[in-house]
Amino acid sequence: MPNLGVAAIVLFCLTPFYWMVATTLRPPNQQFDNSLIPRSVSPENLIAVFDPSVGFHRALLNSFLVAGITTALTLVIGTTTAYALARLTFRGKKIVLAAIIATVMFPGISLIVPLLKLFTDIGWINTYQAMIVPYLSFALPLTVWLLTTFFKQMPFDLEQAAQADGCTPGQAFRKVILPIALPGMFTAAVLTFIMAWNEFIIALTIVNRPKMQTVTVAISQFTGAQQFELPFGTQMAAGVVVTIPLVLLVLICRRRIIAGLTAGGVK
Amino acid sequence: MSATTATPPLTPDQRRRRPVRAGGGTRPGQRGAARWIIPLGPALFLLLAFFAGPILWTVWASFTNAALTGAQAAQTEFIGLANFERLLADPRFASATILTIVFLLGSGVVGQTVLGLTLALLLQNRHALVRGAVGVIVVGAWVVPEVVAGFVWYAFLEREGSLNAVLGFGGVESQNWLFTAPMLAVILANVWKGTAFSMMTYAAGLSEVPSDLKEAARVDGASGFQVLFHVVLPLIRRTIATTLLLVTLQTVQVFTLIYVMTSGGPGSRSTTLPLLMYEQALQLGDLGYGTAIALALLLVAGLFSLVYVRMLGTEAKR
Repeated sequence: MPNLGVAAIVLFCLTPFYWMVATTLRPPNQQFDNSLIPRSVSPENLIAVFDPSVGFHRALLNSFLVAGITTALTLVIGTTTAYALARLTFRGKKIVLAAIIATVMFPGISLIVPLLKLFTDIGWINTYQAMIVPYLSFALPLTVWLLTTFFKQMPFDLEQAAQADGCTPGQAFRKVILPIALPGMFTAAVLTFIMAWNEFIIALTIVNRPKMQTVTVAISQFTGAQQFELPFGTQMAAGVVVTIPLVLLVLICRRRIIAGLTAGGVK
Repeated sequence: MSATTATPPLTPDQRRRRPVRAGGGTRPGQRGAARWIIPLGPALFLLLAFFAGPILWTVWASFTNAALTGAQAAQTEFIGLANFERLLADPRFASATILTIVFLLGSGVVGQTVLGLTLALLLQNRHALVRGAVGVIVVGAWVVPEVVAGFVWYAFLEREGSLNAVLGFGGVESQNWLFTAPMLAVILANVWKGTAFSMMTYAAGLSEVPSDLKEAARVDGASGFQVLFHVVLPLIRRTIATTLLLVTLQTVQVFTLIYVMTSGGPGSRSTTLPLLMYEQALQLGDLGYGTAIALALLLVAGLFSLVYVRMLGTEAKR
């Protein structure tokens, strides 16, 4: 009986994935075929996605740039912030920590309107930074939160011993603390990358020039404005292409992702 | 899940532990503001400029006729409570609020909690291999971009989609489920997308329930369900409340999935508050009215959060 339950839920979770792959592999003239197993398999949809006229290469490049830069900046700023919060004592630290927790939970969608207004005013429409900076400020709170708890439970003796041995505080941080903190930073990096890679509404709102679009926006506009006659095959193929890097990430570091996610949830 | 407890920073008792400080010696942070303003500066600037600032602007703009284009964009005027009066009189706002709450209760509270908790409970004593495989599949659903998930579910539920093919065997008339039951469709898709998150947090919570407590209840003759409802669930109440809080705050702002699957239609039958805000502010350019809707959205999220915080509070008093 419990096995049956697990099987049912797994089936529910797997069906859409299967459908996505099956639709991708169907030849375009069988797009609306509903047979469970595609009658014939062809790579045409995947080839169509990478047709130069679609511009999907460029969208992939844009997404890699935006998500990559966001992740790198989040790590640098997040690590210094978290380390300072874990090690320094100063007035108002509790307020800073409380503010960070509050921003982790804040429904970011309500910031779309002001961000659009702001970026229109300062001429950032159709730029990478108009995506990177908001993603950075969305990803920072969780990163800081994750890493602060990580640094806090490292004994302060570690750096003191290193400093007694002649390290400067900077060296102590780089040579002693950073190597131990790498797993935590890795978790934060993976979560940030996924968040930035998947983000849709800011990318849709801030960017309207096709050359600057990220993959999520590009997929949504494969057909133009009309919602009803969709080229399912191409869309699913693009979906598969976009999802593969993420599924690989999940397979490689499932434990870290789960650990990072639950850190926000269970206190 | 064992994976979560294996990673050091996450077990709650470690988190509560204070960092060990060397007695006497050089205490950090006592050499003035420069020591913390430099490392904290960039993060504080970003959060002030691109988080706190926009929130304050939202509050201000909701009292104005700010617009994206046209004369009002150049000359924004203060119009008092007009946006809010319009909001209360707008039948689409009322319907969007109700649909948001339906979406929240259906997919966030009922769907994800029930399915996530069930899955976590079912997997609790499985073989590590089974847990690993199910974990990958469920986390896979969480990691798929919302846009892609939206299109997959769209393809699955529309008239030519596979759901009709399956139901056809049972004699159910072929129909476009996105048209006949738009809310059900988006709720189902969001449950699919979000179950992973709740399953993971519940699994982490369950792994901290001491097994001898369950065994003791068993020895005293409690049935499996009695153990669940009288021993396990009360013990993980904190986890349930925090998970509900996080899931609610995520669910209330779901935009992409609905936008891709139904665009809020047919008519406004699946226009939740985020979609209404997007339509008013970004498609019609009425920023003032849009920010008023954004504040209403925050109010809904805040009210639900209050319920969970009270849940946490009553527990702490016991």
